[in-house]
Amino acid sequence: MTSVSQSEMLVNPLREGLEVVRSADPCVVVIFGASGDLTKRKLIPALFSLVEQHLIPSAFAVLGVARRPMSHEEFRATQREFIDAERLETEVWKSFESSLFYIPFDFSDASGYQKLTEELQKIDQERGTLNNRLYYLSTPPTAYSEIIKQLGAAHLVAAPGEKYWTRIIIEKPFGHDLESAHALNAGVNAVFNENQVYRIDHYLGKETVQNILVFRFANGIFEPLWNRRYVDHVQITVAETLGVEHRGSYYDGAGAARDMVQNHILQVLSLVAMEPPISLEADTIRDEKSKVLRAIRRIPPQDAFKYSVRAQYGRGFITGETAAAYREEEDVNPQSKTETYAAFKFYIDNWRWAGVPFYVRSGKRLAKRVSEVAIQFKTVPHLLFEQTAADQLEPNVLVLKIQPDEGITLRFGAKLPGQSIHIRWVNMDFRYGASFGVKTPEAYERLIHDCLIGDATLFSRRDTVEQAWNLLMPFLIAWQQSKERELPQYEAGSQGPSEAEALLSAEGRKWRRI
Amino acid sequence: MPPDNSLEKVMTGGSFRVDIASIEDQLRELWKDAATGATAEDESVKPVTRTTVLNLVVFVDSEAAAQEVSALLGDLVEQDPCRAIVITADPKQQGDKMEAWISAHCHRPLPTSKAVCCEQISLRASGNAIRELAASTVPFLLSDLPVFLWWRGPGVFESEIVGKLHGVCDRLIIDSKQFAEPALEFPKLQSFIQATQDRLAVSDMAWHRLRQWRELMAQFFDSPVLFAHLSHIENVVVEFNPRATPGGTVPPQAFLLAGWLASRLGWQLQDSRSTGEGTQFRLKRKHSRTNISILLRPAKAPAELAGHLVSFELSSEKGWSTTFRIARGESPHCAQTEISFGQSPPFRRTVPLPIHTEVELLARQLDIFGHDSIYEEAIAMAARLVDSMK
Ligand SMILES: NC(=O)c1ccc[n+]([C@@H]2O[C@H](COP(=O)([O-])OP(=O)(O)OC[C@H]3O[C@@H](n4cnc5c(N)ncnc54)[C@H](OP(=O)(O)O)[C@@H]3O)[C@@H](O)[C@H]2O)c1
Repeated sequence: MTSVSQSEMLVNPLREGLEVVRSADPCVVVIFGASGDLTKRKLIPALFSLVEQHLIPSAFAVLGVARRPMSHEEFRATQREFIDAERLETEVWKSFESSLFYIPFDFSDASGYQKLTEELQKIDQERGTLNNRLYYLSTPPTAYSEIIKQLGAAHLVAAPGEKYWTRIIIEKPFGHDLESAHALNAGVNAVFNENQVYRIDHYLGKETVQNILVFRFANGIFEPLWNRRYVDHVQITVAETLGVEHRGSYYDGAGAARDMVQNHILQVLSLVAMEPPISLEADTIRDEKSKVLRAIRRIPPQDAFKYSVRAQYGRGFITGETAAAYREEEDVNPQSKTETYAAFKFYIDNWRWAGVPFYVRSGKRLAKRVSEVAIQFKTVPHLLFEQTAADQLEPNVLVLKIQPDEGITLRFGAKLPGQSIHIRWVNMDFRYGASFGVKTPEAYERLIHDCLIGDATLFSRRDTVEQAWNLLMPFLIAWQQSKERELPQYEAGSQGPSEAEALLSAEGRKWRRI
Repeated sequence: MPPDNSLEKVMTGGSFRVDIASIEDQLRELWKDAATGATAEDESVKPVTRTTVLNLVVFVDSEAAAQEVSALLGDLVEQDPCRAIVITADPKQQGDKMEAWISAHCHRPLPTSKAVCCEQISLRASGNAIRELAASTVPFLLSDLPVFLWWRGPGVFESEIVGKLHGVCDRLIIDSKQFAEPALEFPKLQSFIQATQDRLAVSDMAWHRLRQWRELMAQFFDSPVLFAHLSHIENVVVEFNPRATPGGTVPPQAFLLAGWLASRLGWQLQDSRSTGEGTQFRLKRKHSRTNISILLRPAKAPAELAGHLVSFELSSEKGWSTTFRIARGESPHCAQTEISFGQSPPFRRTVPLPIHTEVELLARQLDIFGHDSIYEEAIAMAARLVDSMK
């Protein structure tokens, strides 16, 4: 196995009892697209923070690659932008900065990979990085296939059985549809083994998403209720108040379903719905998630509109200011039919979830920024108490809040003090921030560190990426084909399109207020 | 009833005196006032949330120390909301008295969120009442939450209070850096750990201070290439900034670090001696005749590093001479790590090595449950090291 580091097999007695069971191996992180925004905004700050936490070994270097010519020094200077001034002043930054290098070449230029090989060998010699490589593709998605092909051709990928390792992190979006994802995967797997590939979904690096696993499998009282006998339905919401900001041209080619549902939401859904894994190993968890995605009912394109709603925001009013319509945003086609809101009804056809709808929705320019999973339980079969206008029979709801104020809320009925029995629905609240005031690590820090130690749990595997695309394709096709239909609109700052209500109201349910 | 202005006073960091018998009632009244509007629909109307994830009992031996602890708890509760019970055994006070105060520590996790509050009960005893402190504390422990006893004073292993409380506590927190006479106190600590093994676990702030040194030293040998060098180490040097105590100039942390290394690597102690340079221990690897030396020696360092470690170095002369060294740099919050092989230029880099505040150290102790067997083995070895110096 090329992906397993050798240090995993050696037991370092000095590590025993330390919180970090393994620090990263000596290695070079090669960032393709190093002159871009993501590198200076997220990647270099994450690596530096890992250095500050003693999680990066001394034999370590970053080698940036992009098109524009720059010297090592110039590259280093560009990477200071997102590091606080106070930290830049320290000897620690100076020492880290001296391990940053840069070489310019066009990704399609084979001779560039020759230069890359030489530079890497030089770094190995000077810094003892032992031929271990982590390639990070932080480039436009159109460049992925070319870089991967060229890395293969230049023999820059460790073969199985080598003493050193090669891993590759690929940024989202992973494909534009099933076909392109499939083609990209085929290209990746022609050069890399699947266990060398780390498809990043930074959403999974968030602490609270991992909390779902702990909440479900470390508590004995919820799991027995976590099934069709007790759960009426599940709602997963990712609502943003932001519009497309400066990402208009990317977003207009993607839309809400591709940008949020295909990756983040379906990943969260599979964590909520999966069976308990037999261990916490990467593949056992990913196997269970994959089973969920496979069990989600495929909807034929002709029924797509019965199970989905898409819409686009028009002008509106948000946080006290008027907001432009989507079609008026910068870099967006004024006739665009791209959805900025998507809602789906999914069924998971397995023993645990048969007949329980999973409603998911995601949209931009909605009333509030909220990410949450709400498990709505069935109501009691018979209400003993007199029903008055004030005593509506309500279900228990368990809400796992992911953003902005992470926590868990359980709603239940309590008797209002007084002579007669009146029920009031109250929330029992737990806030991570109130109980654990510790700063949670940035998602990128966690994910890069996991990759450096060879732990793929929080990364998407090929099969789940393709399953997710497969699931969405009928909808994307139906939406595409119905081009003649005017896209439903919703006002910026609202709860979303009225059409989305109909997805639930037919079954006597309604969306939670955002 | 608490006085009318008590809520405001408590929410702004003040305390008020209460009758011990009515502490719980007073607290209940206080929080009821604070939560006025709690039944309102709109969440933001609720002014405070009370949160508690653990019980923290703190022992101090003077009123001044109690004040310091109260200030420190204000910072602590942001990370570890707890019910704090500060018990003061004040021998300077006249008479056999026990008095009680209640106060609160509040903060807002986000500017827009509700204030999160934790309560503090303070008990101060003098004269014969000191003997009742332990029994008076127990009723205020919240059930189902872990109990930490932080001993912030001398005489922990002889204390009657510890003897009475250890049945209800999960962990005892100490700071072995404060040991004035390591040669006496490490063996006592080791006996205490053994004697209370099945009831209570000990955690030590000094151990957490060493964590970064241990981490950095361990990191050298995570690399499969360098791992092999670990079994050839012959010389260990721990440098420290000397301190002046009746028990000598070597700070307890130096013994603890040496104890950790020797216990992890399975080295067996032969003997010790004082040299012109410092204190030297001779050890042996199992099944090997080669001697290993651990030298603890004083070194010059800035005043703010008083009693702290200055450097930690492992080396061997076999084959190539190799050295692995961590040394505090010019700036006290950084260290330089260095690997050198034979004549090649050493490879160096700078990493953070912050000096933790007491509250940071305390917060870390509250994250640990259960026994830390690595620490306990390090203590056993440190006890043997100091014993050999007699
Ligand atoms: N920015 C974010 O916050 C964010 C968040 C999530 C995901 N992502 C994903 O991360 C990836 C990178 O995003 P980004 O915002 O950093 O993009 P960006 O700012 O546009 O940077 C793209 C980088 O690729 C380089 N590049 C493009 N074509 C090249 C070629 N033919 N040869 C050599 N270099 C080439 C560019 O180099 P030159 O400019 O020097 O030509 C630049 O360094 C994208 O896949 C994006 O979807 C970004």
